[in-house]
Amino acid sequence: MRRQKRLFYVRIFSLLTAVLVGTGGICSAAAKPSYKNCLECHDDLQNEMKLKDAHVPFKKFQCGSCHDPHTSNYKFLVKREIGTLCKSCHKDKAVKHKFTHIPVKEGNCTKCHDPHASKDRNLLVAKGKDLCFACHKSESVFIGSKLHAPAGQGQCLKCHDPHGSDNASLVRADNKKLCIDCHHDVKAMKSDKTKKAHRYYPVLGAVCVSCHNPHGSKHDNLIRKNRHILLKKGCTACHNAPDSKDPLETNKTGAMVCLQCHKNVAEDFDKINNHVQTGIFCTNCHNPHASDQSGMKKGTLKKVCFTCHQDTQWRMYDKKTKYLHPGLKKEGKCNDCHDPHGSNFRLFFLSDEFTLCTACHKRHGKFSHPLGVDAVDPRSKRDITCITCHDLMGSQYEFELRFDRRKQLCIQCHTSY
Amino acid sequence: MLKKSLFVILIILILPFNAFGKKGAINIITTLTSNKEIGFLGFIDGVFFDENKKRLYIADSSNSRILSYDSELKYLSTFEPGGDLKHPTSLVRTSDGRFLVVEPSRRGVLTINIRQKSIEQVNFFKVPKAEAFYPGNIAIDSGDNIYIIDRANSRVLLFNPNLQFKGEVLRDNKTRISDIKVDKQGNIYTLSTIEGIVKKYDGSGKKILEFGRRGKDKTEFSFPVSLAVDEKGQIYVVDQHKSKVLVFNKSGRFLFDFSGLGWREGRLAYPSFIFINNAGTIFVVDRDNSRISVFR
Repeated sequence: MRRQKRLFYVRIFSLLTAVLVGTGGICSAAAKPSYKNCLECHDDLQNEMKLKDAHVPFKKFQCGSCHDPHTSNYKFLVKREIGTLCKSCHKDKAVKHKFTHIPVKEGNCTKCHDPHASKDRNLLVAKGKDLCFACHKSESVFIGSKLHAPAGQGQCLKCHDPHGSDNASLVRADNKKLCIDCHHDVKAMKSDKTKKAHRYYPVLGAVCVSCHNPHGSKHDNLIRKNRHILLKKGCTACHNAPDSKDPLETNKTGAMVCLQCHKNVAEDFDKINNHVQTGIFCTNCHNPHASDQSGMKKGTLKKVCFTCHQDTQWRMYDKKTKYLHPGLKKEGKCNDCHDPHGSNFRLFFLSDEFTLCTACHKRHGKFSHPLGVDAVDPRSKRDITCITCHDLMGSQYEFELRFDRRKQLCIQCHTSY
Repeated sequence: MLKKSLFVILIILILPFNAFGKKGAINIITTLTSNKEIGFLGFIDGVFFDENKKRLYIADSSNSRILSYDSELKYLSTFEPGGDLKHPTSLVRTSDGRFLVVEPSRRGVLTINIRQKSIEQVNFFKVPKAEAFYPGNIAIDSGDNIYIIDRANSRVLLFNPNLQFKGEVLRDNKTRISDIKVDKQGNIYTLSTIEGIVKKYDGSGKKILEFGRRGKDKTEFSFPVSLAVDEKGQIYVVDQHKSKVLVFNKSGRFLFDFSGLGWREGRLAYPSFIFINNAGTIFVVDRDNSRISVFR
């Protein structure tokens, strides 16, 4: 009986297979799945389909080129991580540059582009400056009412490459070339006004943005907010005379041109830990002519520090890092704890760890786990300090602890517990 | 039960490869830590092993002293001359027993003769651009020639055994020089922290090898700060922010790394310097743990 039943099902299956193969049902279904059916459910995409600048695979109903209709490990059933997926076709965007826009680096293409369609060119999710200013807040970009024309018109891409560049700040060309491409009068240095403004120095090879803010300023000619005090006295305090053989050369060797006046800073560079570098190393962090930042810094403190300490940046923004010292991530106040010039203390600290931390954490100065020379870390035999237990530059655990305080931290030393 | 047994068998099979394979080639021998005899070690900067006397010298910078240890790494004595030695950082010892110690607070290099109880500053009178000189680490070759990094001018200055300036042995206009070592053949090895590049030069200053970059990969550097070379020509690089030592063969190919962030013996916390003696003993300045970790 059972055998007859099985035979019946086998015959039915064979018959259906023969019919389907005969009519081409299975073959055509397997070879050309119709993704037009997708829109039956995803009807919100129908309007996007009509847009002129729709993504080509989307327009051609090649949904399967990006999505797996059945299962996926990724959101929206995409086949791979967004960045990898996009770059599999847009290979030119996979080219490595010295500087890469963070969303590109993180493979977050959809932050700027709509993968289906957009009213704007290049599938952008917003138009011109609205797109850029969604992240780069306009109030931080535009300082003052006087705006550089392209920036004011939201033509950010006139100077910047939104994907990557071999030039800092993602500018399309070397600063010197970029500016003179439009400012031809500077290029020729013909105009008397230009010559006079630059005090008859041949600034053609100089970096324009060291004095001018390419976005905007409160001052005429987009001069930056804070100017070096010696600019009033004339350039010869630091440079050779404009009619000399080598006018832009400084009149002292290396950083001595700065340290001859900044004597208190000079002492810091003679400490055990110091940031002495090559040449006029002060200009690694400071702009000697003009700056919009305090202390004539080249950029925000975080930006300046991360130029060299990129691994600290990676660590601070790592997915595993859940806790950071307050103010560090947002404001990047590195110099609240570290002396950027030099220090005789560990890790460029401003003072010893106890004095440094209790300057803010006053309660811990009065009551805390034993610290200092009377409290020895049994693991290393060195004195216990605040950073024995806390890792302020990035931790997985609350209070920036090095271990979970509920199960791992204390037993590092108190092993009998 | 079966699962547990399988797991144990698996661990037994795998462990030997990790413990005695590539990584296991380097083991911790001992650790020189703070103790009652020497007090708290402060901010240690450089170490040097004198092959003639078979002694180890440690520059305890923040405590303004130089400590010496015998060949068995037992503490011998402390040299603490007071105000004449403020912050010794890098140091070497010549075959006739003179110390050359980098002293950043004086922006110079000192010659210390303990027997004669004399401390003198090395004369940089003939060095061009000496007014902008900032000393970095110091190295010595088998002929007692002294190599001093001039950080501000990105060059290495060469002095003969009589401390006469012989010239710039090399100048690096592209990268900054953070550390230097010289091997027995007279080849010079330099490291650039910011660029993450190791360079090897012959005795005349001609570059013969360059490798390395900063990155997140296992074979790349996070923040390399010091390097050393062993008898086989293998190059050891201390990565401060990885708290590891990365080892490369003489062609610059990554071989393995050892240690990692930690506080117990054998682990490192922000190490800052490495020195390898002729016997192959590796001395690592474990800066945040205020100790010297000795590996072989």
